Amino acid sequence: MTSNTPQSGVSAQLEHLQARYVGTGHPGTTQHEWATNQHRDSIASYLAHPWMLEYFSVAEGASVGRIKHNLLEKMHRPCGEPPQRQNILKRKIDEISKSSAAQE
Amino acid sequence: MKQGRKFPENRKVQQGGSNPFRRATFFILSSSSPSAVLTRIVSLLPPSLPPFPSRSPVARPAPQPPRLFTMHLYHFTALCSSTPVHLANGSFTLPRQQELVLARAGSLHLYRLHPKTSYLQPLFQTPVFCQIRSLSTFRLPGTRRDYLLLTTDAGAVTILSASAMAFRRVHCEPFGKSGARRTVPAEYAVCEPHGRAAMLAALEKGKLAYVLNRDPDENLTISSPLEAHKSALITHALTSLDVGFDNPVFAALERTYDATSYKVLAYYELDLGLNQVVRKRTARVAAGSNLLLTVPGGTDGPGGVLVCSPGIVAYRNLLDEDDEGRLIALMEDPPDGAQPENECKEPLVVAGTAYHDRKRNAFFFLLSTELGDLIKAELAWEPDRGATKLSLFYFDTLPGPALGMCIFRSGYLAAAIEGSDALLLRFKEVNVPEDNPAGGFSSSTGATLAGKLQFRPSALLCRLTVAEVIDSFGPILGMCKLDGGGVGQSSSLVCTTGKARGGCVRVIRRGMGVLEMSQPNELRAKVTEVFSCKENAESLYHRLIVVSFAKKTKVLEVGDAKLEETVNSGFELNERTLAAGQIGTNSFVQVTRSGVRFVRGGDAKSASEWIPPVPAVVLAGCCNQQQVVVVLSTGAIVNFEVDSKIDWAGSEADEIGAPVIAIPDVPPGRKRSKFFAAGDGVSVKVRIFQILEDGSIEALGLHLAPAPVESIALIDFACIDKEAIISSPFLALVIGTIHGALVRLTVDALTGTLSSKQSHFLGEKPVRVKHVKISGVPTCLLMGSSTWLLFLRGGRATMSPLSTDPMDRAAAFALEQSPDGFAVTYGSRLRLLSLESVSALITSACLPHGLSSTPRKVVRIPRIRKNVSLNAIDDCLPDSSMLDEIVEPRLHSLNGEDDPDLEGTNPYSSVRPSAFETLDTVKMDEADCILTVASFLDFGGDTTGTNRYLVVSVASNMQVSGTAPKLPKRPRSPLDERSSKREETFVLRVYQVDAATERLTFVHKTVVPEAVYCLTAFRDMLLVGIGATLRLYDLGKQQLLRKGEYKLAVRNKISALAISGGDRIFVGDVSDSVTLFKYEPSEPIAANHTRGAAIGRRGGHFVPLAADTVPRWIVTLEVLDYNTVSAGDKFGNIFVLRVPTELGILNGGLSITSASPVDRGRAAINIAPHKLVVEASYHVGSMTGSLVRGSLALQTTKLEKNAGDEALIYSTLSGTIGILAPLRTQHDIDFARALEREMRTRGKHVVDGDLCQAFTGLSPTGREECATALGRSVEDIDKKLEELQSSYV
Repeated sequence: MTSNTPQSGVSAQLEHLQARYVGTGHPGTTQHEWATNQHRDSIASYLAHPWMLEYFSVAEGASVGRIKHNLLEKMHRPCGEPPQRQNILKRKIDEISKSSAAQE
Repeated sequence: MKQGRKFPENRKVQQGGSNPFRRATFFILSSSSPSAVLTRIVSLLPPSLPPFPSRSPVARPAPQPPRLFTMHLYHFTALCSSTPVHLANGSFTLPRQQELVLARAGSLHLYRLHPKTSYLQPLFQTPVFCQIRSLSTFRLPGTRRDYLLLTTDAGAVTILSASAMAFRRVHCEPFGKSGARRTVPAEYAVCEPHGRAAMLAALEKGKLAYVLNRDPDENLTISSPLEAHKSALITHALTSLDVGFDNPVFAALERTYDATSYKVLAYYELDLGLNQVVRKRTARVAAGSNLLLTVPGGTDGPGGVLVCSPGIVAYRNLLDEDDEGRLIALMEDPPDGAQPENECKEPLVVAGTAYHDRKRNAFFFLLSTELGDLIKAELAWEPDRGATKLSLFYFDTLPGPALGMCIFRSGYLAAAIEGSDALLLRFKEVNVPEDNPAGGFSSSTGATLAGKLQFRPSALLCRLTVAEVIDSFGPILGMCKLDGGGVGQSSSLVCTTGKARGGCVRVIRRGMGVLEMSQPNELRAKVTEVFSCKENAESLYHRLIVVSFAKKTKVLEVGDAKLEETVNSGFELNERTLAAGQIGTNSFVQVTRSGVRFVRGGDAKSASEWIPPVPAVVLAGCCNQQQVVVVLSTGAIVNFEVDSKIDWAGSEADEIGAPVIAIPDVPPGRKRSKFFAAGDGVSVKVRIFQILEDGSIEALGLHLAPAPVESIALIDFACIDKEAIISSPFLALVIGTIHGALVRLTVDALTGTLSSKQSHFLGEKPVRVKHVKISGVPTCLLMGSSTWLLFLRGGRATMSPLSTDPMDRAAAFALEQSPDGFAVTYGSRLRLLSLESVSALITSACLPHGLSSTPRKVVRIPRIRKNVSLNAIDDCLPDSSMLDEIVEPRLHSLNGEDDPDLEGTNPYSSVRPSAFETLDTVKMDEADCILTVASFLDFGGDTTGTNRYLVVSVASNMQVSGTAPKLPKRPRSPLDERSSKREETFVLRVYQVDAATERLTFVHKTVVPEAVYCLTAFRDMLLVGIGATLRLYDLGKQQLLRKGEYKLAVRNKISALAISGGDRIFVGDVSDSVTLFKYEPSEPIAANHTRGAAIGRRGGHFVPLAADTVPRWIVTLEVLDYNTVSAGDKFGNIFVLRVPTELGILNGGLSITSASPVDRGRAAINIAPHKLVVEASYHVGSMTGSLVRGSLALQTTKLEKNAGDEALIYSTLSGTIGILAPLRTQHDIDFARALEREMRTRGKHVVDGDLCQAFTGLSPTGREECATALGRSVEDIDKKLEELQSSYV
């Protein structure tokens, strides 16, 4: 496809946006990606507002430094490891075979 | 008879009360008699109650619906946040000065350290109107002053320099979006040690480098930013390396979002020649690394960084390092970074600072752990081999973990401590012996672990001593209001401040703190006037107090330890003294009825006297350092001046009948004061007189006071003893009348015309005004029903009440130990007082001993003045093992010895605020934590008023998810099995407060299915939010009895409850705003029930009326009037929600609109038929801990507070106390809006008063321009601004 068709222009623009602005979604965004992005935004906001850290610190009975550390560590995988597609597929096949076995 | 049961019938009581805000007071429980309490609740119900704010309390015919006015609020900060967020030291105003800059929420403060006197002098502060996210200092090569580099949520990097009086903005370079965002590089900002470059970093992706330089005119220049972005990368810490004068290098702790990524230390080199930033080198570091500290480099040290991770401090220098870092462990576990399970148990280094003595070429580091221990790190190095050994020693223990620290070269440590006051500490010793008992260990190059270190801190602060304490109130979690005792008293706020060991209960009230310097002296006769005299003109301190009685005079002299009466001072003792003072170089003057007596050189024998011509007598007199003016009974005014030869130059003038007279001090550098003022006791005239060159007197301005004049004072605020900050005279005439009014006028220094009149009402008593100099600064004491001090603040005369016993006569009395002292009398008692500080507007008293755990909530126990503070220790700890390891040792070290009573318990204690004595403490189980508490007077229909109850919500074995990363599953040990079996239980415990012993007696407990975060007294029952269920309980014999319930009242969890008018309940959800319910009793309750029958009372049910449409995370609610509620949310907003107009009109017939009984209790979504309307909203910049309604202003009359004199007072987690005051007239709204627009605009229906106040800090031309734009005069605006605040604070 040549680059001067309007569609490719739009997609190029989107790609540019996605590269430039962290968290810009695309049709293939999974639920996990979306949630991870949300959580990272929230954590970044907590870290940037000292009173939020203070609030967590009071609630948990830990120092602000510890809360900060916890949140920063959480930035990496706030929603856990992404689900592996193969695993999902495998599980589904298992389920189907199980249900068919039950039917039999 | 139970008054409370007359609810439905009694609605018409006090219709259209003049003060709805007052009537709706939720603080009902504080009333003295129980029946009065309930009557007041009844009076909340009138349907025609005008809403808040009451702008036109016009009587209307009853059937007409109330007019709902749009609410407009004026927001201002009463007590600025005192919690430091960032701190740094340097020489900002002048070279070689040791100064400390503290960034607090909303303001930037500069202090100067005076090392010899251990005094930290506050220099100035600037409101910043933004949030400072990071702060760093730098000094350009070859200069001797530091600059300040700030990144703020304005999305700009700001460079400030400091002049003697203020910060000056040098550069402000925008680099990104505003707000605290993930990729905007404002989270970290560091400057290169040699001041050549700065790097800013975001939490993710963004990194910018700026080159700092000088132009040929020696001005600071900043380059355009150089990008070093790298996507999908988290930055954990950033610092700069000391590389001498090579290209600047910055070090960052980073981790990418890859699944297999690990934490690395990355070096970024800023190539000054090529003008680019390169990520030069990376190396893997321990997984938990969280902090970097710069190690001096170049010729001063080995360079590189210290990398702190839980339990481990490592020295890394990637520029000349083999792959194996040099590691040293802080605690016993091996420095294997890949152990996330153990990570929580290791103490984390949360803050650190380096001290570098360039002269002796020595450096060391101080690290603060999350427990508050200070660890000293020393790095041995050799110029050719680099670092050879890293040693760590236990150094000392701070009251809490440090937020930031910095070391001054004169041997002081400034530490901002979490949840506690900031401290300036002096080093007693720096060197820690290698074999010290507290332990310490070191690692040579290549060695991974040298030994075990076990900290057993024996006592608090062994190597440091506290030199100065900087008050810090944050976080304020609980707050309640205490009403003042009556006239001349102001309401105060009881706040729980601080955290953990810094926890404290403080009383905050209007007024300046006054210290009593001695026991009161009983003089056995009514004092008519007090004067004080210095030894001579040069002396700083006073020596004599002249006390005048009706027919005699007493002279008291400062003796060795106390005041002693003296008879040979040369003063006439058998007559009443009208005026006395030190005059000329070393003489005294005394004005009596028979004449003017002059004691030359303090020698009693050389006294001379001027006697007025017979038959005249002296009626009044006044004097300053050079002049005496007396008024004779003939009406003549005689003016004396003393020249260097001390001859008398008298002149007679105009006749007036003038029994009050006042003269200002002689302005510096002049021989006489040009003006004096004389008032007429019979009529209301006060006149300004001018003394001409030849000594004759000329009458100038005239003012007619509102009532006969009691006393007058003429003050030249420019007459400051030490320094002349204002060169031009600022003359003020202060008039106190016999009916309690005070009038302030400005006197033109040239023409004597009077202008800018301001009136105040101080109470019913006559107002005595007295000019006193406090520490050489002219002020005026205003003594009426309450005592105030008038002083100059920010170029404006400001009045502030003194929190002290009443006084009626006063004189300045400076002593060496109290340079800002004064002598006051009340009746026949003489007291010596000293002012704590001239600038403080609000003082606080605090509990003498701190609390051992974080105080969460304070509630007032009704009737008897007493407070209960609730302190729950660290209640939501993820598991109890952590409690054992962390909390217990801290308690030991705090108390110095083992105190088994305190271990892991959850005490809450009753505290009496006036005396601050702990009345009772109830200990909870180790696994328990207290969630909330409420107190009652008439619980369970008991109207005797003697039984006060306390209901405490307790959770056992509560599991809180917390912020800690989820740990991977591992096989459970038997110990874990046991702990996991402990189930979460939630109970409501009821205690009775014993009237005689004032102790808490456990009554019974009731198990509830979910955690209860809010409790409130409702009628004579208990309203509880249990999860999403709203439930009503009555007091039973064995447990609480359920009397009404609404399941799924809200979507998630009930987080706050507020009662309006006795039948409406505003229910706040933890994330879904507010829903309004109406309570409908099952049947009208007969009025003549006896107490015994109360057990069988029927309950009622709840009907949802209205809900909000916006998801708001409610933290606290406070009812403003029957239709209106204010709420604070988790993100720093305060807003006001009001019942829609149609509901306000319906009023009595509300139940018609309610859901049918079938729908009741079904679902929490869209249950309410109406929607609440947002009336006002404002972002206050920090989470609101509590909201109360009230005013901190002094009560001036015996009547109830002036109508509508209440405002909304909030406290925040940053330690701010602010006020949202209703703007009452359209005129006020227009003015405030217009002024704010001139300054800048934001918020809905709320005017930013702090911004408006910034008007007073503008330059004269700026003020003039602003005033012109508003079409008002500058004085007019000043006056108006003060009026807006003074009614509330």
